Amino acid sequence: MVERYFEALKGVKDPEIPVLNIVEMGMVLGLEAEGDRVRVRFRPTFSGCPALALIREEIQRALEEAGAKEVEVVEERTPWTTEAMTEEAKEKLRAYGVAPPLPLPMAHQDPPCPRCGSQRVVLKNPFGATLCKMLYQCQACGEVFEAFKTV
Amino acid sequence: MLDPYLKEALVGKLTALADDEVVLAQRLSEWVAHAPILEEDIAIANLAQDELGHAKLYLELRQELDGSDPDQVVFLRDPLDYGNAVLVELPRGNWAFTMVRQYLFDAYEGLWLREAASSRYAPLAEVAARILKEERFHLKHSSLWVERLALGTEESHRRAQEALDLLFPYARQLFRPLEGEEALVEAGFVPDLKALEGPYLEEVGSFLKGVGLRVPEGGYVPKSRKEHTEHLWSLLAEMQSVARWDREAKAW
Repeated sequence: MVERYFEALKGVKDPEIPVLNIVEMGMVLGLEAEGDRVRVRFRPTFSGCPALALIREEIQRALEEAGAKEVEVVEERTPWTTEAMTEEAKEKLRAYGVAPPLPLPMAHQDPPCPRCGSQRVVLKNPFGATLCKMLYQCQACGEVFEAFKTV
Repeated sequence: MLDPYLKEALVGKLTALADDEVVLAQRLSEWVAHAPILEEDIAIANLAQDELGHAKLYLELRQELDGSDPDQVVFLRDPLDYGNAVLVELPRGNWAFTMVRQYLFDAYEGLWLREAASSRYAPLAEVAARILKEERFHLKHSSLWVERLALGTEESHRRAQEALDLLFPYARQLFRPLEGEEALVEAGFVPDLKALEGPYLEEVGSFLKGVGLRVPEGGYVPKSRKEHTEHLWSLLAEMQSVARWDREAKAW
């Protein structure tokens, strides 16, 4: 049963990055099930994330569709970090046109351009269209791109 | 179990921390659709959203202590009960004023949070560590702007200096502890503000001088967080209008 509920969570997308689900984002900290009673522990990414309420609702709905009758969604305070993101998730981001987060010790460096791979990039703004992204421009190919913040 | 005296002091401190964030967020949000360029419009909305997220974290810690509802605390409390510093309530002014204020506040928050991340009150340490990750981007943004304005044109430099002259004494209020805060410092719950002021003046001073700005001396520093300007009244009247008009309003 736990497997099935867990699979259901993989259907919950991050509404601001619709190519990623909350499991590969590293937002799910645990899932316990007793028959049709399920308890999910999850952590939000950025503290002011406006998608939080929506994500909670989607978790609830996905688990109910998988057969759960009672769903408890617990928000944990454990800080989220981009280190929790899977390699596949980072690859999906790159394919989506967003530079994936760098390993934590490299947090202060600029990411390579997701289009042409050049390191000649310029930070245009530490803020982007969502809380988790920054705005860059590639000097080599001219692409303006978003980069996921390394936190 | 917390000593009742410590608990009361902690509730007061958490509320003051949240009040700074809420009031600053409201001032920042006034720029939405009015910022000088589109990217900045987006950035300032991000900043406001982050600050509100931080206020929520502090108020949830308060809720664990006294059961208070964060929405009630923010939307139904009167100006005289707000404990924000005067710095954050002053009208947004021009872009230089907003960016200099943000820089002065971000630099203070960075120092405070780094210390608070090792608070002996574990829930606060966790929250501080989380906020710190996001604040790094705030400081990068605001310091780049202060630099750009200070080294830009004669006019942008003049405006940045004018803002700094007015704001600097207010920034120093951030280092005035609340009543009862000594007990929290002694318990290792919160950083000692008095010990942070020196490093702040050094860090901010050397950055500002580096970009050719003069760090003002003297000026009036508000003595307590009970002191406010008239500007807080109109700010809260606007911010709280919907909640006060319809207490059952659950969605927007």
